[in-house]
Amino acid sequence: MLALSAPNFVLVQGVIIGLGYGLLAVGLVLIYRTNRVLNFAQGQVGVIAAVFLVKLTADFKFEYWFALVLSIGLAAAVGALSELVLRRLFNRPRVLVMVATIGLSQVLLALTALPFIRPHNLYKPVPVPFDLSFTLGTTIFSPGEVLTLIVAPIVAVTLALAVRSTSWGLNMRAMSENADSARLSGVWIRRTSTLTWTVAGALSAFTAILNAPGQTSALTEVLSPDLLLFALTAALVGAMINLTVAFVAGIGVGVLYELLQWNISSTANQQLVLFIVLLVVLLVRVRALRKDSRSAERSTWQHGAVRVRATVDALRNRISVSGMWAAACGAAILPLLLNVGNNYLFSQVCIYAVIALSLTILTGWAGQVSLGQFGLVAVGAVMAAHLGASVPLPLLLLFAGAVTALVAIIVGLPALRLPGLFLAVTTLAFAIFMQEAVLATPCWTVPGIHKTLCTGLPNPASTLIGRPSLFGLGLHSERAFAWFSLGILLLSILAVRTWRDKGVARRLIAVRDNELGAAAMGIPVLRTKLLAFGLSGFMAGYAGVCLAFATERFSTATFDPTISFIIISMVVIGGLGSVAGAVLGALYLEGLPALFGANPTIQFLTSGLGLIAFILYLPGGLGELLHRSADALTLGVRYVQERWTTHGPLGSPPGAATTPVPAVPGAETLTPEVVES
Amino acid sequence: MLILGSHSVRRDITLVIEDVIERYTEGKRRQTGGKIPALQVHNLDFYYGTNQVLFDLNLEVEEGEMVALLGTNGAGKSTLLRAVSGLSHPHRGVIRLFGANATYLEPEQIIAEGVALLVGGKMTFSGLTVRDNLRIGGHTLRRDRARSAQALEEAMDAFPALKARLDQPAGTLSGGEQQMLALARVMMTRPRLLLIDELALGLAPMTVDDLMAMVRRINEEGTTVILVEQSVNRAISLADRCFFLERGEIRFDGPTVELLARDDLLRPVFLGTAASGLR
Repeated sequence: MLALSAPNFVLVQGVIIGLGYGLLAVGLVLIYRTNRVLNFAQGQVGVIAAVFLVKLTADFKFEYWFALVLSIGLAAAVGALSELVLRRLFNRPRVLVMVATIGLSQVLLALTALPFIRPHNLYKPVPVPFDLSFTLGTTIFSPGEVLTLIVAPIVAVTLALAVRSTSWGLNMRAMSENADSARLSGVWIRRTSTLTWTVAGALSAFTAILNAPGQTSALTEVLSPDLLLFALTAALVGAMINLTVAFVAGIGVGVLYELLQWNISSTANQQLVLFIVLLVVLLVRVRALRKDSRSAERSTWQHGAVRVRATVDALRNRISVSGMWAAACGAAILPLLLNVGNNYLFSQVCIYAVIALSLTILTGWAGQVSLGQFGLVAVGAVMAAHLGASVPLPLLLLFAGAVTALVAIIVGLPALRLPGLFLAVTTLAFAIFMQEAVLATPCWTVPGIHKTLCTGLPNPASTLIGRPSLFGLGLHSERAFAWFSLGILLLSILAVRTWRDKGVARRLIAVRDNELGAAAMGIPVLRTKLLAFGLSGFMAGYAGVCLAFATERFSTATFDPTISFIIISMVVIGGLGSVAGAVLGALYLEGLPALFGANPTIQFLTSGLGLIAFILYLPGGLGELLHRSADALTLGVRYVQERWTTHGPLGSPPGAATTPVPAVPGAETLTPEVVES
Repeated sequence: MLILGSHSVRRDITLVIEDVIERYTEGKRRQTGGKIPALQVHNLDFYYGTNQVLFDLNLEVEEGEMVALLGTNGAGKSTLLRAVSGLSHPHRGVIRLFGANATYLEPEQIIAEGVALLVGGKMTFSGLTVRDNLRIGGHTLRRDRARSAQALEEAMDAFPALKARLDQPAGTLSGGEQQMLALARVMMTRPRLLLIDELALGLAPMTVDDLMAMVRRINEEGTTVILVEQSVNRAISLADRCFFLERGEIRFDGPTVELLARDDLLRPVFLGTAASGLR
């Protein structure tokens, strides 16, 4: 067992960091509890306040306390405004709202750059109202840290009291338990919700202002994956309900982090221990949580895909199939017309589409949210780096897929017991762990066996691999590789469509929507969930191999965990659960910005604001748009066909049609049914 | 696009005209000395998505009455109560509460009008203590501290079983006690019209009898009560008048005793057993 010991000042340092995590976790819990929304923008709201505080004190020479009140008020207002914008999404699938908050966070980041918020001197430190400091051991604790030690507990206790005894707190608790019942007693739940976001905004302001003094520049994106992971873990330990537990857990995470830093020298091992501890803590909590079944959370998180109502008939099928063929043929010709740079981009889009498809299975069908799909891609990439030169490509793709599937199943194991956010946290932890520990360590010694294993990138800073050949055909040119990627994408689409039509998807969706019901119908629930993880991991794995060969030179930074958020956005923009949508989403988020990067319209559309606008006004995603246009086209074709049968070929007078034209093919099999696509 | 647009414009104009006509006839009726009933429902159409649930529904309930709402599963009883309490809004028609139009009011406003809905088995906040549940019940009285404290006292006096468990989470109460808590909570605002959706849901017969006695007492104190019931027997013992709903339409409106004679209505519902067993 690992023995951890540290002098007092390390512990105090940990508490100070932990207070920040705790406050952030409390904000996350507050909003999750009220609206069942995982708010990615929670940290960013406060950054506006911190930046504004610097602006007021440094540029306008305001009194500190007055400026403080103004900036906290600003954050509260921003919080309320966010709620008003996102409100219409609250009865939509949770993943959709989550992605909307990712967009919101980007918009808020852009807001901090506005001239009346941004200070002239960006590197001006956030002011501190007093000059108190103390020394412990060899470390001097700055006034900013003293401020945190004093203010954070006060804020937390005040909030706890408010939740317990004010009318807002009571309403909020009642609303989170049973919104309809609260309304029937006259509680205005929308006002309560807005008020909650306002409080969360103010809380976020405290978090950012307390954390800011240590930072060199206030204009940063706060909710980095690490910070998000720690705050989410703390929030989950509090079961996304209990504010006090979440706050204390946040402090615990901070202390643990500092302890590991002090006791373990290598970053990789620190990350490993942290990852394992987080998993164990979550698993232990899963046990405690399973008692109250949290059916509400289950229903809201698993309520996943958008149902597309489409009349399925022969003509409609023929149109969608020929549309697919046309798109595939067009895509096959495209590499001939593109230059080297664009062919490279073409391969990238294809590979990202495969990754998005892998997430479609997991999130769209199985209803499990993964925040670390790119970690699985990294597994595939590592395999390519090590075995690319020796193993033939088809074999490598299959092997990498199988290994990644295994990894995905292991990462998914904790989520078997409790769905929803748990997988989100373990996958996020996994993605960070992959980047910072596995990829960054070329070789490591297994503790018990004393053998050296090389699982990381051969050169973490810059690994160069050569492209292999496929059945004797070289893939060295960008054009050849573009065709190869397209082939992989088409095969993947074919596979996913087959799974969709042959009942794999049906089983996954059944388990997602009603686990007990599915089990009662004889569906093996456990195996079905594992199947979802496995299939998703398999696709992510071979996509990783392709991505490694496509980029040829990559480093640990290539596998930044934030890319996983972009992939979730792709799946959502494409339309949750839609196969064609995943491809379109990849094209939209990966292709458009690279192709028309300088065009302001495209920049807007693919920016955070565009993302929010997209989700607000087209919640079914691009997939739904595609469906609707196919429906419209079917109607048009049928109209022309009917005219043809009654009036004969174009131009001929009525009755001139001599040969009886057969009735519309398949018209007698018009069976409207709801398909999930 | 144009055709779709013109359709919805036409529909809107029709709705406006119907509304005006309804207002006119209602005014006329009152001028000629008609009473103001507790609840009036005129020409109500209700859809869930594209599914029509209520079809041109009309009913009136006088003040002080106790009325039973009977019908098969999926007949639209609960939907009707949801529409009256404001949880969902109808597509067409008018709902009047004590004479005032309440069709598009939100539930938060309806409760202030003195109309309360109790949904069987779905009302308590199981994670909150009994006291907090009651505090939510007194939410509309929060500006008047004295009155809200008094309402809390009255609720505890009326339901002594709850008094001993004030600081216990409501989820730990038995089903009957939870229902009692819901009733206590609803009664705190002293509603003039009480809508009850399946009071007996999942409860033991003994408990149901106790609760029914409480409802009867509430009615005797002057509150109008509309009660959704599955059992004809209980409906007879409680309510003099009843409505029978089938597939979103009112098929019977009159004294409950007369409903027993309507074998054609009851047989498909109760397979004849309840009706024949009673006679």
